[in-house]
Formats: sequence, structure tokens, C-alpha cells
Amino acid sequence: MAEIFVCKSGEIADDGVRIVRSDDIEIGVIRHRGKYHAYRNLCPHQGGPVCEGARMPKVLEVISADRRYVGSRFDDEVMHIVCPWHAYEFEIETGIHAVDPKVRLQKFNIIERNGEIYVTV
Amino acid sequence: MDTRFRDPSVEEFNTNTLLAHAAEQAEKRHYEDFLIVDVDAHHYENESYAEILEYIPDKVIREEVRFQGYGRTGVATADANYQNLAGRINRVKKRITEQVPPSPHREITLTKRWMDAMGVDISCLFPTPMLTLATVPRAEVEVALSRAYNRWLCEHVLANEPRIRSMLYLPFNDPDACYEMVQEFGEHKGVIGFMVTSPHERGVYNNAYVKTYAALEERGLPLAFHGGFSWQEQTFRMANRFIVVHALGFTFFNMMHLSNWIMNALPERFPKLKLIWIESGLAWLPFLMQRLDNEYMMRSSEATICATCSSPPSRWRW
Repeated sequence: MAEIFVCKSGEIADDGVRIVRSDDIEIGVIRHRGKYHAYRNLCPHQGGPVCEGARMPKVLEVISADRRYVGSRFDDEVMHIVCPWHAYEFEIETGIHAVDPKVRLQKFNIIERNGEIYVTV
Repeated sequence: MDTRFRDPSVEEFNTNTLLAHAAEQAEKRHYEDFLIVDVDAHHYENESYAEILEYIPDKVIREEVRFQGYGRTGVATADANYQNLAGRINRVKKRITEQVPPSPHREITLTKRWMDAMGVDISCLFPTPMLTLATVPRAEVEVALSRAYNRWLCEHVLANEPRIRSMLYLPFNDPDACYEMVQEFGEHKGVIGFMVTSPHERGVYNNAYVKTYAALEERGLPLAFHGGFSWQEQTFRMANRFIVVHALGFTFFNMMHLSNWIMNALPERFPKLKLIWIESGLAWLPFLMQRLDNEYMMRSSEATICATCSSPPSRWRW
């Protein structure tokens, strides 16, 4: 497996992203809560540049114990990345689609070594 | 290994970058080997608002339009539009900053950028915010703005780029103005038909439109009904979420207009007038065919003009 240098540790701001292109593959490396996540920059829907999209928290609906709709709120524990073409949303930490677990981003491993970040392809 | 880096947060917005993957797909799939026509291409005419309103001859309306602004409204109104999902889709906002050369016209450059990226040879261009213009209660504003837009589009875009065509806007709230639009623009370069935006409450069967249908039929120009949504429409006020309005609205209005068209025997009265039903999907057609056939058998007294047809509505030309 090839290791591709991405950046020095801390170079990408939190919730920032760097797109790495190696030969014919693009990988988005996202830094979220201090950890790095790498996904192919290709939305499984129709091929959009998903890693270049907006980052927004998951939205939850609040239903009361007696089954009334109360409202919506953000779940700040779960951050999504949103494909800029058609708004498919994926959890940053897992790459899984917000509502259909069968739909996922292609994930790559990250290595942090000697103050440098690499992605393995 | 050839490795390159990008930081999207500092890049200038550019359609070519956003659609780089589309261009790769077009190349891999050999789109250059066959003709692709995008029959429902949209642009954001609000970006050329300042140019368009100069084509409004009524100075009072022109100044009102200049001050009021153009396009989608915010949460404090009944017609709020959440098309861009609270910023999840941000290309519409960003494209205002997209750099283009001084010529050709910005609209041509931006349209051709996405056409070339996606392998589209010819596009039929439609406005976007104007899809709800027919819901404006002031018919004179619909007429003024649509005429200005049609003139501007013909002069700045269609006259100068053969790959871009359009079906021009008909202000359906003013039947006489519709007829005048066909007369005025029917022979312009790049005009391949006329279009009615579907969110409105005018009956297509109204006799006031007969002369317009005849004028289109005479010229061999089709009439398109472009689907749209309106949260202000009575039925849709039951929806408390935009996803419902968006999912159903486009199809709802087109279903209504098509049903009226068929049940008032307009296909028989204007047999050479071709219709196009745009941006509603397809799944509703089998439903409508079955439903109208069934209703027609039970309620034939309501559609006696259709009695001369020996086949059910689903078999008529429409």
C-alpha cells in the first residue's frame, strides 16, 4: 500500500479539509475534533466532490414521551459532510449516509508519524 | 506517483472545479460520440437582474422592482424557500463571485462551463426564481418582468450562442399578453417554444387562451408547462415542511393542468400543438392515465366533447 503525504500535524484547521490527488484518485482528508478522516472525494450518489461540501451537525427530531412533535435540534456530537451537488449527508467519523447505512463513502486509513499525516492508498 | 494538494476553503468558486468529476465522467463515457441536449437547463436570471429591469418600459414598475429585489424570500414570509437546505447547497450563493472574462456575456460563459463539463451539446435554458412569478397577485408585474426577461434573453444570450436555446416565458395571468409574446418573439433566433410556469390558478381551458394556442400551433412551436411549487397555494398550506412542498408541488400543478387540458378536449381542438411537461418526473403519468380512463367511463356526461374520440383519454395525443 502506498503512503501519501497529506500535511504536517495540525496544519489542517479543525473541521478543515485538504484534497489530495494521487494519480487518478482524489481523497479528502478532514480534520474533526483533532482526528483525521480520509474518504474518497466521490459521492456514491452521482459522483460529486463530497469532501468539498459544507460541514453541518446532524439534525434530530424531538418527540415527547406522549408522542408529540416538539421541535428539531442539532446533534453536536455527530457532524456531517454534505455533498455540494445534491446534499447527500455523511457522518464525518464513519462515512455512513445520514439515513441509509448501506450508502457509504470509501474510507482510507490515516497514519500519523513523526508529526506528519499520511493516507494509505 | 503524481501527488497534488488542494484546500477547498481558499479556492475561488468556479463551475469547472465544482463539475470536474462530471467532466471526468463525460470523458470516460465518451459523451462526445453522441448528441446530448439538456431540455431543462436552468440559469439564475436574478444575477443579471440589474440588466433585465432596464428592459421594463414602465418606470414606476421598474423602480419598484429595483427596490424590492428579486427571487426567493426568507423565513418571515409565507413563501419561504429552503431549496438550498440552510446552506448545505452553497453553489448558488458562491457563483455570484465566479470570475468570467469580459466577453461573451456572463450568462453565456457560465452556462457553457457546466454544459462543457457535463458533455451537453445543446441546452434549453429556463429561468429559476421566475418559476413562481405567476403566483404574484399583480398581473402587470408578471407581464412587465417577463417581457423584460424575454427581451434581455433574446438580445444577450440567444442571439449570440447557438448552443443555447429557450422556450420563452408566457405571463399566464394575462391572456392577451401571452398572445402578444408569441407574436413578438415567436420568430426570434434560439426561441424553440414558449413556456408557462405551472404554479398558478388559471384554467388552461379558458377561451381567452385560444388565440395563443392557435398562434403556437400555426408556428409549429410547442407549449411547455414547467413544474414548480408554491407554499402559498391553498392545498400546500397544509404542509409544515418544505420537503413535502418540494416533493409534491412540481407534479401537482402539472397534473392539474394536464387533466384540465385533456378533459376540455384541447388535444382535439389543437391537434398539432405539441405539449411538454417539464420537471415533474414520470411516475405520475401511469397514475393519471389509469385514473382519467376510469373516471371518463363513469362520468362521460362531463366530457361530451370528447365523445367523438373512440378511445379512452390515455390514448389521446397529449
